[in-house]
Amino acid sequence: MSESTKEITEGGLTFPDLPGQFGAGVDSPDDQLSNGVATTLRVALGSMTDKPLVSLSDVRKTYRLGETEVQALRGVNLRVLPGEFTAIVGASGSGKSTLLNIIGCIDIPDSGNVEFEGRSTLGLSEDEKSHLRNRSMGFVFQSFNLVPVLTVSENIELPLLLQKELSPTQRAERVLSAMSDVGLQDYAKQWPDKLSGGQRQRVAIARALVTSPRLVIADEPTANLDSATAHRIVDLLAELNASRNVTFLFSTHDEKLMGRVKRIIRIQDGAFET
Amino acid sequence: MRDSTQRWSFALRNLIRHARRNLISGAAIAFGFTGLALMGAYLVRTDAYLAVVSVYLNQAGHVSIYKKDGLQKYLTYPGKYTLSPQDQLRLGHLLREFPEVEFTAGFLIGQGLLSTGCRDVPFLAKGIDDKKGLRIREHSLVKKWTPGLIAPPYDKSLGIYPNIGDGISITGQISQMMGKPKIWDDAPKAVSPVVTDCSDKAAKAKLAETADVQMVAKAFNGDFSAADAFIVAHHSTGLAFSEETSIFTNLSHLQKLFQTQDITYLAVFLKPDTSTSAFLDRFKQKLDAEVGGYDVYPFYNEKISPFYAGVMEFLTTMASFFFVLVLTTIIITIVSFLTVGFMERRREMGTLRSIGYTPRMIAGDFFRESTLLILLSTIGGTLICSLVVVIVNSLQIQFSPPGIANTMPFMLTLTPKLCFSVAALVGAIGLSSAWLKLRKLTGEPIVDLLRG
Amino acid sequence: MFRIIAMLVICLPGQAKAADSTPEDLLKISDRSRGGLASTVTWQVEIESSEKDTKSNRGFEITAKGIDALAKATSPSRNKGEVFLFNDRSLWFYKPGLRKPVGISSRQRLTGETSNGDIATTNYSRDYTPTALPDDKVGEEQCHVLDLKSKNPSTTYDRIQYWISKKTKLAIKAQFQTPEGKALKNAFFKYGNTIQFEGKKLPFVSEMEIQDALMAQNKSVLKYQAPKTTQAAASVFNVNSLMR
Repeated sequence: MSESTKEITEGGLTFPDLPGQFGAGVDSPDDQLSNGVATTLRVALGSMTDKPLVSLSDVRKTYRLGETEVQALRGVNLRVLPGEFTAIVGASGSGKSTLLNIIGCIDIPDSGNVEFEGRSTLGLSEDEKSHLRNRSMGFVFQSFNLVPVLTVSENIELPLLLQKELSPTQRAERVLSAMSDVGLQDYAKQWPDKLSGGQRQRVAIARALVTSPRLVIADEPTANLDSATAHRIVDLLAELNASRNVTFLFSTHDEKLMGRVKRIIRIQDGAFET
Repeated sequence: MRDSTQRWSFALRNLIRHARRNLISGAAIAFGFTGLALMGAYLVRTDAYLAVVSVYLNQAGHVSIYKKDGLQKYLTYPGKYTLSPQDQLRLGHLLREFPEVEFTAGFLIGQGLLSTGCRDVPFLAKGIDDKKGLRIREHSLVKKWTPGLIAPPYDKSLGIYPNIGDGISITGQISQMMGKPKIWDDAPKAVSPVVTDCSDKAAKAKLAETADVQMVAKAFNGDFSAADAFIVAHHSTGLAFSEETSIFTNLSHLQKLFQTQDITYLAVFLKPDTSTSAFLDRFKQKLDAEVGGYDVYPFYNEKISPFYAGVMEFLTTMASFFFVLVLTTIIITIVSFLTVGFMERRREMGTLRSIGYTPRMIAGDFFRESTLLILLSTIGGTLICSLVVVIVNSLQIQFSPPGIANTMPFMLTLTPKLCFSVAALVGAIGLSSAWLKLRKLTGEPIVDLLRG
Repeated sequence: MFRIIAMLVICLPGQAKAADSTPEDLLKISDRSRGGLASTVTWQVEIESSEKDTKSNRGFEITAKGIDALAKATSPSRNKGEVFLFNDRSLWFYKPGLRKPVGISSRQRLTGETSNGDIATTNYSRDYTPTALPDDKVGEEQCHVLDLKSKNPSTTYDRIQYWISKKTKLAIKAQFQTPEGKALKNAFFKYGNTIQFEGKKLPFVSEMEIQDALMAQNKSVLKYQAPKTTQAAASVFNVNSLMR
């Protein structure tokens, strides 16, 4: 049983302290639903909890570029609840990718605390972080980042190969299911270089979802796609968020994609906008 | 954990991904392997040739037993530093306890002059029992490694003339120096007349017609001694420095000339594939414990076979230098292969890390690729090597290395053991350097990897 | 007066030379007492050799005439039947069992410090070119000293320094040398025997002691006994007769 599941069954339901809790400039999901409906939905869904999935407290990160120091994050605070479909919007160099990397345990902040499912990720070893990413997170990248020598199904299967409790049959079933979710069930034996940009990104999304993660982090997933395809990808992400209740955190600088997003976090020069 | 077949399949696909570039890396390793294996093949051949020459054709045996200090002093004080019949009995008894001994043979060595009546040539004679001498010449290893030294004109030996008690075998060079080109089979079975005037050309010409000579020496008791002899065979020692003086005689014939029953040393011939050093250690222990007063030498001792020891030491040194050069090239090739491959796939590595792969797992992927590259390269190298060896050996190139009498065929001996040893060495060095490089490469932060 | 003095000055050294023999003459005289006589002579010789702590003995019966000599081994018994023949400048060895005599060198070692050529007659006047050296003493004996250089390669020694007593005209010391003059062996002679030759009693060698030049303790002593003149057919010195 995963740690997150334990917390859900053992912990009680708590309501978030909504006003001001997420920091200035952040739209609360409860602005969109009444409290009662939200509570009912949470109880009905069962796996949702008021405990944040991700929690950042006063996180700072500075990069050194030659002789110059760049403050990528300047004391950000953030809470992401389970089931959110959140976009992090900002110009290039605003700190979006740094924020996502820190949430995804790919990078380490200089100071502050980062918690995933109530547990700090800063004290984890590299192997523990790898395990956490494999079991609880999925990643979608701007350049798709598919392995060119693996077929579509083999690319999607990659994260599952680390889960030794799964039999080959179980892996195959999950891969098929993931391919169906993204509409690529007929492309199992195709090579990535034979696919369009949109198809490749679907493969990447399927790969991110195949392990049934709690959180999917997508860093500029539509940046290399034309606008029509970009919209379709965002729609897909939204559908998956709704149907599978996976929390999505993605970064973009394209305002036109905000239509399906439930929550928008604006960031500029390493800080959230007020 | 990932299925083993999938991991290797992944490695092979990545190898094929940049086929042209990896082919060049593979070719570099393959040719490096070929160079090492061919060097090894030459060493194997030379070692076997010289070892057979030392052990069998120069009758050192795998191990030779002398009276204490006898090796240094037997020529100066022959009566004192030789093995008496009692010594021979004692040693024979002891050697029966060692099953790896194929056979033993006693040899008497003495020096003197070979005379035609008009020309004298110094000799260093070895007296051997006819049957043992024949057994040595017909040994499977002699036929395998030095067939040219028992082929015509060296195909006759004392052992095939058992009825001629005073038959001797001389080298082609002595035959020339003495002006005695004929052997028993080709010459009239008569003794040439006494020539009192060596300036008489007709008389001298008669000397060349017959195969008889006379041996003159100082007996072990100090007396002046002489004996008749018939040249029944020509032989080659295989070594230039001994071609001018080497003669073989029947043991009893030589013992008669030197007026002794002794032998100079007892040669022990071991069964093929027996370790000489292992036998030597055990035998020396037993010998010193039960019967003291003897020195025992392996054939590769520089006092017994100076040419063998010197040549092999030289070749081994040269080969080691060559090995280091080639292995360095292989290391550079592997490291370059890994570095370029890793640089190209940084983002891929970052992606794998982000979905849960540890640096160790990623290093394992590259390690498998290196392993496949080395494996395929060594297989390719083995094929190239085999082809080269077949071509070289079929050309039957004759050459005269320094110190070798006449010419010898330039041949290479490639054995499975040699190929495997070289492959293991290349593999060990290549994979060690791969692992060291990978530890450095895969330790990079994921963020940096994802940036490409 | 002056002419007389001048003649004396001119003649005296010549007269002194006429009184002393030439080096060639000295050699001829000394050869006679070491066996180099025109008629056939026989004698026995016993050789005692010692080297470090090893001793050995050999005995020979020598028959010589002029430059030829035949040495038959008489002792020890294992050597009986062995024969050395010195014929002109050739040396032959024969023993029963050999199909023919074998040509050997006079320089080869016979036994101890004795070379093959040492047991034969001495014909230094034939084989060597003498040159007079300054006189020297051997013990109390005043000696002519000759430097003898070999005329041919078959001689026993390349070079000999020879001390011939002024008084007796007999050689009392010899140093056998390399062509460069490096000493190999030293020999000392005694003349206790006599022999009748052409109506005269001639002194004859009784002992020759040969020592290694570097290690004098290694030596051979040749003791000569019963020298006498006799008759022998010329065929005795023929190599082909050895096999009969």
